[in-house]
Amino acid sequence: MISFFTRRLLHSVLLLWGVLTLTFGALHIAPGDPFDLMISPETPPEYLEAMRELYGLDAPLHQQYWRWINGVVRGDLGLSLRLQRPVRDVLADALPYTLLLSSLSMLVHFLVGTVLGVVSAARRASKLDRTATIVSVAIYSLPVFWFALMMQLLFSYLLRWFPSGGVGDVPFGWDNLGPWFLSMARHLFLPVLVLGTAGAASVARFMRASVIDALHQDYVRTAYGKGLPERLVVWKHVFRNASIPLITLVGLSFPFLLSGSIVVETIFSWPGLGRVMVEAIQARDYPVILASTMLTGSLVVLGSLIADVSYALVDPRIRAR
Amino acid sequence: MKTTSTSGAWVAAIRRDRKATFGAVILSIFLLVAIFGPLIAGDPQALVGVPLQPPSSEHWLGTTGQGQDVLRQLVAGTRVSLAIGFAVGLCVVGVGAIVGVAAGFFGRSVDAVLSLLFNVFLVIPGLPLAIVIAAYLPSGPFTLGLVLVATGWAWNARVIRAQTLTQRKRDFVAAAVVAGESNIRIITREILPTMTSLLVAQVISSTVYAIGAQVGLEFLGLGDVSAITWGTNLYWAQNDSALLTEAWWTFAPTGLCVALVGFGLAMLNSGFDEITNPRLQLERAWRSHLLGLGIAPSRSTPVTVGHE
Repeated sequence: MISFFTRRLLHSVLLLWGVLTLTFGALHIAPGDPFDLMISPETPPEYLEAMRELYGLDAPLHQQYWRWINGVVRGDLGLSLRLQRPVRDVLADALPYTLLLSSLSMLVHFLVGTVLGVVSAARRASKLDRTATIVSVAIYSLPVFWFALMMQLLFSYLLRWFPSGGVGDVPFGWDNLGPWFLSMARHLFLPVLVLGTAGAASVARFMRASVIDALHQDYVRTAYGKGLPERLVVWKHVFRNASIPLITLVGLSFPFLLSGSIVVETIFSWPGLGRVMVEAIQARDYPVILASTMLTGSLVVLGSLIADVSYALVDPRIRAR
Repeated sequence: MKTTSTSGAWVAAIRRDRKATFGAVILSIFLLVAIFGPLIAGDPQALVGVPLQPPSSEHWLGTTGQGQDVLRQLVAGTRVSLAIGFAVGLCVVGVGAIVGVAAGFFGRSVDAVLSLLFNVFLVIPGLPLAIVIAAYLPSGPFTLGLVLVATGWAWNARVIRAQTLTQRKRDFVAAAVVAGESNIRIITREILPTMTSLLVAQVISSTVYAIGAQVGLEFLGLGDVSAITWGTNLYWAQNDSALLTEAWWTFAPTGLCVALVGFGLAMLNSGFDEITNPRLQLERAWRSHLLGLGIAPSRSTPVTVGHE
């Protein structure tokens, strides 16, 4: 057990190092640096040199790499070139918004997806199953951003039920908790709807396959044979066993949610990591791009680590391997 | 259960399954539009009238914010978007197969290095990486394809590695090794053919990914905005604030096309699954056998015929 965790932990550290190196490489091998965009032709070359020196861009690549790794370990992510603020603060401001959006969407997509998947597997080839399959395949094939645009068009521009973006201007406070909550909920509704539905479709498909597989096991026939009602067989015997792989899916859907939220945040002007990232890329703000890619990468590593460990806790066969 | 890989058998299999037939029909229509559409539709760049006209008998899908015909642009975009989509789908699976088979077959340090590589690519959320690369390379269809392959291959590699690991332990591979066949020959003649249906399924799902991701990147303005593709059509619609003016016809049809192609491909894939998955096949055969005998299959009916 201990050795399983140690091995898994070491693996995660190795993965994180890979993520750091890859993002550093991808950014620095490409030609040009951020100051090429910021300056006019009249800018004196001495000023440019001074700026490059200030941000450490004049150093040889391996030194920059070393400095970057060193900084990350110490929690120092550098200075944003565009905002003139520590990158750590920029990310710390954005992270809660992304986590709020992602966790709510995840809740929606696992709740809806699981129920839909189990029910349509238990009633395989019924009208409900067919409809659910077609709807989930259809939603699965919709591009997320287009779905987001259509929802925005429908609910914000045509019906005017929900705001088209932003987080609202009601400040948080203990005395106006009610209005703040209401405003947040109104602003969150569309992004969560879009991210949640898109994910629910794939969870439903996965769950359906997993339940169909479990329905073929001997213990299910035994349960039916001894006369248990179907509801009990499906939700107690089948569901419990079929949902073990779901734990892995929770870990694996992290990258999807974070990628998806880049687009959704951009469309709904939600001030999370995704929007920070897109803005940083447009301005070639190296430190912010590096740090936010690293942060999303780390969240994914962490997600799959937690998934693996809980998988091992739930299913003793995994630990033995 | 052996699956034949000749094209005749595939066509027959598609025709047997209703879902697969449906998917194939949708896809064929789009392919016909992609090949012949641009010859019939006319110049997509031509300014044909007042900007942002709603659909009419003259312009079936209305006009864009620049005053071009939406339908013409849609047709022209179909060709480019599908071409990139299918090419990337093939390349993604190709790269994934090479890396996955190599990792699974050679094992040890090769496996360790390659596994770390595709795990890193799996961990970095694809879109940010794609955005980073796309932002720094000259824009064009080639760059876009490269970016999509770079961010899409890892998942396939992981699945194929796992599949290779199980095949590697089978007797027929051991027999080939003893017979002194070269590694390349064992991989291409013994191992890869057992994965034909998996590879086909991967090409289909990778194409769905490629089309969606391509349109997404172009929508964010990271493609070649002067080209006419589904993604750039959406980009210009957004730029001309079609949403604010409620000009739904400038982006609804394009998104619907992306969704339809994805839907068709997914239907084709789930049809293949019903065809190539022995368990589903057996169950169907057994059920129809029972029904033929006048027995209603129930939950406690075991599936036994030909079970492994």
